[in-house]
Amino acid sequence: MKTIEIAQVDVNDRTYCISYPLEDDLLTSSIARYGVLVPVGLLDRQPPVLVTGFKRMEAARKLGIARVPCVFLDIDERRALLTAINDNLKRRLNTIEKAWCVEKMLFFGFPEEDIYETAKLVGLPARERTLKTVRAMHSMEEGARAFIVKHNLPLAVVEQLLWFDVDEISHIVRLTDPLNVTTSIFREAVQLLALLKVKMGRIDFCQFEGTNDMEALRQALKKATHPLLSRLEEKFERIREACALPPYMSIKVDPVFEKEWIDICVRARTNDEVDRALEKLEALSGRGLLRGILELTHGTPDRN
Amino acid sequence: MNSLTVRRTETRGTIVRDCPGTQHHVCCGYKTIDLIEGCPLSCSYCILRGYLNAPGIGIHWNTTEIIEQIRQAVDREKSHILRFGTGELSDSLALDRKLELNRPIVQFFGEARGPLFELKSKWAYIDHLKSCLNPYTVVSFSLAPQAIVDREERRTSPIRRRLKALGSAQDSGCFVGLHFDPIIIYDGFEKDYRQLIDDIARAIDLTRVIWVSMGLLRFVPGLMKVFIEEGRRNLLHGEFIKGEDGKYRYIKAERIRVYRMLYDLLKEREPRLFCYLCMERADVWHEVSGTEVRESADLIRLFDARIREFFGGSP
Repeated sequence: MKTIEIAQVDVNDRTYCISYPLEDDLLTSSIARYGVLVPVGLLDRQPPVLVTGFKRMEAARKLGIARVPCVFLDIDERRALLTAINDNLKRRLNTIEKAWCVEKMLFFGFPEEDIYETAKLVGLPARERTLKTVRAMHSMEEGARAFIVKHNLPLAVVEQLLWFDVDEISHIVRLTDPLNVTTSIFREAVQLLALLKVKMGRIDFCQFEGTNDMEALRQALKKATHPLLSRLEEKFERIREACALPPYMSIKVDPVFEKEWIDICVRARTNDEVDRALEKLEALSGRGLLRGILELTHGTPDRN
Repeated sequence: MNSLTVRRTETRGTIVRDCPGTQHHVCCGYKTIDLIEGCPLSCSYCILRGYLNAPGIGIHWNTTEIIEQIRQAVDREKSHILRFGTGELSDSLALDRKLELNRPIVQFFGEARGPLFELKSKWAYIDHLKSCLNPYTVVSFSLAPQAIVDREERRTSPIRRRLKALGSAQDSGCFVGLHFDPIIIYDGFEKDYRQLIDDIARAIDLTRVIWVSMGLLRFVPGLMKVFIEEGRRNLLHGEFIKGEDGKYRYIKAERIRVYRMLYDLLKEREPRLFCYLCMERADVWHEVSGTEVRESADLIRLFDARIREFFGGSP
């Protein structure tokens, strides 16, 4: 098998690279022990251009290995890209890698039909919007890319992230990276941030600093975008506290105070418990507390 | 007007339908005639952006077939006065000068002398229809402050021209309708709506306005993303929640506040105006107007009474 000196290859030429990130601890350990077993693929040019094996090359370089096994490919550029994509399909690609497959096909001028087919193959929606998103992702900073991979965010969420400029994305990454990010709650937080941006023209990120979990951040954002709803929630909580309900009783309202009714739930095992619940309800009604809750659900919280 | 493709659509099945309404909200029992699907006016908030997926504009040319469908609908439902309109999936007038699709329908309703036909529009041109307008055709315009027209309804006629067209329709012997829909909450909207209602009162005879609808902005979830991407500050200024029908709408307390303000302003001008809420909940109706409108049948009865008031017992 042929080998090549790593120094002869421009490892910074990422024309065909769809691997992200290149650092892979497991692969590095394996190469440290057994060496590079699978040859890297090189385009037969001067200097040779790396097509497949970017992670292997990176690990070998870091380990101070001078030569790696290689295969020279006598193919054109488009074929080289397809080879690179194909070589990576045997593992699960992250969102950045999927995007790169499509982005590089766009760069090499593949017909749209072929690009959509590849998009489907890697698990991206085959639609125009995907191409737009992938193009826009090109300007993303390294921190944002790492964040997307770390939290396993799908393209739909990346699309939302692209509502923001580079600085704002950095702020969002700094703000949420240490938190318990899940796709659903992050998606919601991003939408609230975007809403805030449209409403206010800019986002004052300082007001959200120091938040220690995603749910608290979501609440803080909701307070900023939905002040009326937040006030209704607070009023409802105050009334509920004043009700001092026993554990076997509960009062629930529609979370957005749209449905006009309230749900009063009593869990009773004996007739005595039913009587006590009825007494309690009568007392709450007498004190106007139930009316207070109904005013919230009827959209007239300031009536009294 | 833009250069959207206008295509001929074959009329298969019924295109005269009940307004789909929306779950848990009171609907007015309107009948829609989907003569045109798609709209060249492309208002930023238009619900069609979230509903219709075919590009361009589809036209049903077969007016004979459509009139037959209207006739069947009238024969089927005799319990109340039917109201029909072509402004659900398009603007009734925006393409009509060129296509002349409304003329035979207007004539049909004039001859039928029972049900009413509403032309609902933001395009202030009715001259081509003047010769056939009759009392059974209601010419209606959607109205909003000019600031909203300038930013969100950029291809539509300016408000002063819509008001002029309304005046002209009244001069032709038509009843007219006013539609404050969508009402948009933005910075300073209260002042602008006051001004708008002043302008309306100056331009037309409010005693001959058959109905006034009020509907605050609501939209399907997909449009939230579009409004954010387009940075629609006016549209997103207010506070939205997802209603029981899954659509975004302003929080109820705000809806009541704004409807009340407009309702009072309109009633101050003409106490006998018939104002109704489009797709609202029973409790909002109660809070705004003091009227018990619990279900669609209640609202339909109010419409019947209003129409009888205008037609002196007939239709």
